[in-house]
Amino acid sequence: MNPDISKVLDEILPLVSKPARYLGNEWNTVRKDHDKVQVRFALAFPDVYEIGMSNLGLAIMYHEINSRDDALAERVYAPWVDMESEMRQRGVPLFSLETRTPIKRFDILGFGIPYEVSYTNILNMLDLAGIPLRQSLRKGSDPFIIAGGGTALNAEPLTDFIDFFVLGDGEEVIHEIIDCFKDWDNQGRPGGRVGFLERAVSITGVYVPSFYDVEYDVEGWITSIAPNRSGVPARVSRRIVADLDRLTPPTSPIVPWTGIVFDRMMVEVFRGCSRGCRFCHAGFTSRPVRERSPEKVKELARELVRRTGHQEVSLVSLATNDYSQVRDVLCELAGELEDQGVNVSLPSLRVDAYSIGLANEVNKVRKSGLTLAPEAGTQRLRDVINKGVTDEDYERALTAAFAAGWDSLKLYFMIGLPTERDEDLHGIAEMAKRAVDIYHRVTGRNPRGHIVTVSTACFIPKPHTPFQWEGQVPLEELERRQRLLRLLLRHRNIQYRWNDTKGSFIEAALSRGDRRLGDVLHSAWQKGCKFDAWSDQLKYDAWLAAFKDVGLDPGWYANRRVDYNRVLPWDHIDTGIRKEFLIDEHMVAMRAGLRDDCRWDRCHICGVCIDRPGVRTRIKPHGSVKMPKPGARDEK
Amino acid sequence: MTNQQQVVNKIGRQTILLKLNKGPEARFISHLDLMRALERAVRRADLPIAYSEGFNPHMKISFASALALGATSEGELVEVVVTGSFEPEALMNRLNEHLPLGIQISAAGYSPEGKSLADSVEWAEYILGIEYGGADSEFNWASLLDGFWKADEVMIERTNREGRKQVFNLKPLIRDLKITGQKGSLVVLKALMKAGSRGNARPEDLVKGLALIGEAASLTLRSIHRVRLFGDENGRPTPLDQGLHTINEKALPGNDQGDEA
Ligand code: SF4
Repeated sequence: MNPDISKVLDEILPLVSKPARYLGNEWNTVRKDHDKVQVRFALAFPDVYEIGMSNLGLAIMYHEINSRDDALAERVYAPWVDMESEMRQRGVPLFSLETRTPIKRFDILGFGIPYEVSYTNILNMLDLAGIPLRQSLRKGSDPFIIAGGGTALNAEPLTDFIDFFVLGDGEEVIHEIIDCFKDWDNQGRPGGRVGFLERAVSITGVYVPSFYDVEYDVEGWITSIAPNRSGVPARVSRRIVADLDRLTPPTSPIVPWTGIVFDRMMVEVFRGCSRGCRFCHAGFTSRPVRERSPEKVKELARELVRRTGHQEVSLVSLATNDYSQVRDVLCELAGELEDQGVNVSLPSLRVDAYSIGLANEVNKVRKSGLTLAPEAGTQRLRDVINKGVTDEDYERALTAAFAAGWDSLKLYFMIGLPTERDEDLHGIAEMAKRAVDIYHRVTGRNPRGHIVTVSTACFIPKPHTPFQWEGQVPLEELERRQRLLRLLLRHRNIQYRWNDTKGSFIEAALSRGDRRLGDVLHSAWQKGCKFDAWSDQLKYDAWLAAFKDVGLDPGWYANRRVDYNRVLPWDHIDTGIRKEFLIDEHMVAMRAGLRDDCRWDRCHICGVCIDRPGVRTRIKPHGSVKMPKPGARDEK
Repeated sequence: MTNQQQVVNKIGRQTILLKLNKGPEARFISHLDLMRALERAVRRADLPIAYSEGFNPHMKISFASALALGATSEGELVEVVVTGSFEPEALMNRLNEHLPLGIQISAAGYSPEGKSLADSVEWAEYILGIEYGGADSEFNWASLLDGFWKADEVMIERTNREGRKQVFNLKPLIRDLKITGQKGSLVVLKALMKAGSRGNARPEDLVKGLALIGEAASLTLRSIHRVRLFGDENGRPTPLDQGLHTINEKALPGNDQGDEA
């Protein structure tokens, strides 16, 4: 423990909210001697502790790095505003939780980026650490700033501030990066900082943004993105771990003192999702589906309970109901762990009676609120987004749920989806009212209070999805649709919650943005923007002023529709999905056409399993997808 | 020593009383988080803990009294109910292997029959670090305490949990006050104060009361350390941990603890 920082913390901690966020000392914390390892890694999360500690990716990285004898990893989260101001007042630099070491003293600082509206927090954390914000201004002794996570696949606005991005699954590539750093270090750090980047760029999954030049035309459209030196790939491939069973996932993750957002132990049952919901960034950027075998899942769950003492284990993935052995695994674990007072849960449920039945079997106790996400209010629009939920699925799911004892329901929808019309909003209201009717019919009760809560989020056309060419519906129109829904959802049993349109507008601009937004980010941060994901912290006017300062229009970024033949800011990032496939999906979407899941249908040649050795859909214990004959790609 | 046969009750359960330290590493852990940490340690240690009946069973673990956030302690008391017979010492040792830094069990024994633990608490002994921040370089602590004892009543105000202000007399809630050390403007006080459900004085209340006696002397509470919890026998405070025989030498507080301020 750094004594200087500890001493000041003793004075600060009584003054700030939730001091447990800054303590460290949690069970399973790994503390190593900084002088006995060669590579010191700080793992950072640009939001508060409770959110960061719920992030499985960072827990995996912590475990991977600390499993090595030659390296250590320590954590740091964004201090909340009260803590930040105390730290700045007393000159306390950003420090790690484990040993309270100033972050500036680490070799590598790796951010896990959860969402675009955390970018200003990254800048703020670098500043608090005393590290130059712009990568071009960093000196030899500064840590390398790297970033990973799903958002890293389209984080062009961050390129000025990040030395390199790590794309895709991190378990294997992190070791290659550490080994590469060691070699460079052992040889006396030839070539300085650039020397290391020039070595790292040859690792698949490493994207060094400063090695690419971007050109624009007078209207601001990108005309080319090209490497500016040799040895740099024209497109950077995302890393894909071929088989989850070859990994050793963390069994002793840190047990927080205090309650966190997902206060449960997570067992990842599969990675990737090929359901093909067309709005879903995570789905299209994590293919193919790779299941963990049921034996490994059960073993992992038992180990986690034994080593953490947690009271809840959650089987996580993008859609756990799709895990081929979900029923057996869930029931076996639930039965076995019940005696220890441990719950086994599913993080989200599909809208169908089977999923409800499953949840009912394992979760006999807490049936307070059920959450379902039909996403759109009419069959037509659900077909446009390829969310394969029918009205019958919905009816049956709700009938089963209310019969099983759930007594309230949360429904999640998006507004502003491509092709959305007012009738789709009426559809949302009808679905909510139908839920109330089903409740009355099934339970025979007619209470006064809320039974159904409808929540809507504003749709953001995300990079790497079939909707990447669409624009976000303009702010005023989104607000009109929210007002319409407020009217339509006036009902004593229905509550309506909507999200802040302004926050999602900024998010859309950043999400669909290019490198020029780096200056906007910097200016917004200077104007005090941080914690933009917190609606009570978002400084919308400051953001608009920042765009204006730089001479860019956030509306152009958020709302522009892009032709298929234009260069997109993230075109040099290869998620594995072919652009032709996304174009095809987009066209099928406009006709409200459906596409089946390749797991149960056949390969649709999205591209990710083609030309990548060992990468294929893996259904455990044995199963995969019928693949086309070689050459089929060209016929299509 | 209590006879084990006596305490194993009809359904084969027994209640074990534990004394717990909360060190500086854990002093910013809230009471709720402390309970959760203990539950998780019990599960990791795989102890045969008893669960409550009902729809949402929870572990039978109960604390004597909640400790304020920011305070350290060497005298927290916790009761745990285990199924079957279990030696307190074995339970203590096993649990200690699974407790996070800053939390340690220092003693264990069988819980006495009778009143519930929380209901038995009447007094709590604290060591408080209080700083005088005024201009008077000759500030006299001894006469301040004198003044406190001489006063008929010490009426102070505090805000209750619902946010409403209450005025009450602090005097009968303070039983003992002693200066145990002094360093510059900082004084270390040992205080025996009312605790539990039949009246409760917080260290902040005492500082407020003393400031009042010292005619608005500027006093700041710098550290809170709870030493021991007491019950009441015929009007005499009696330690609630006196039945504990199995002591964990390693967890006994060091000399620095308590007056670390
Ligand atoms: S390449 Fe084929 S099998 Fe693989 S994820 Fe894409 S559609 Fe499915």
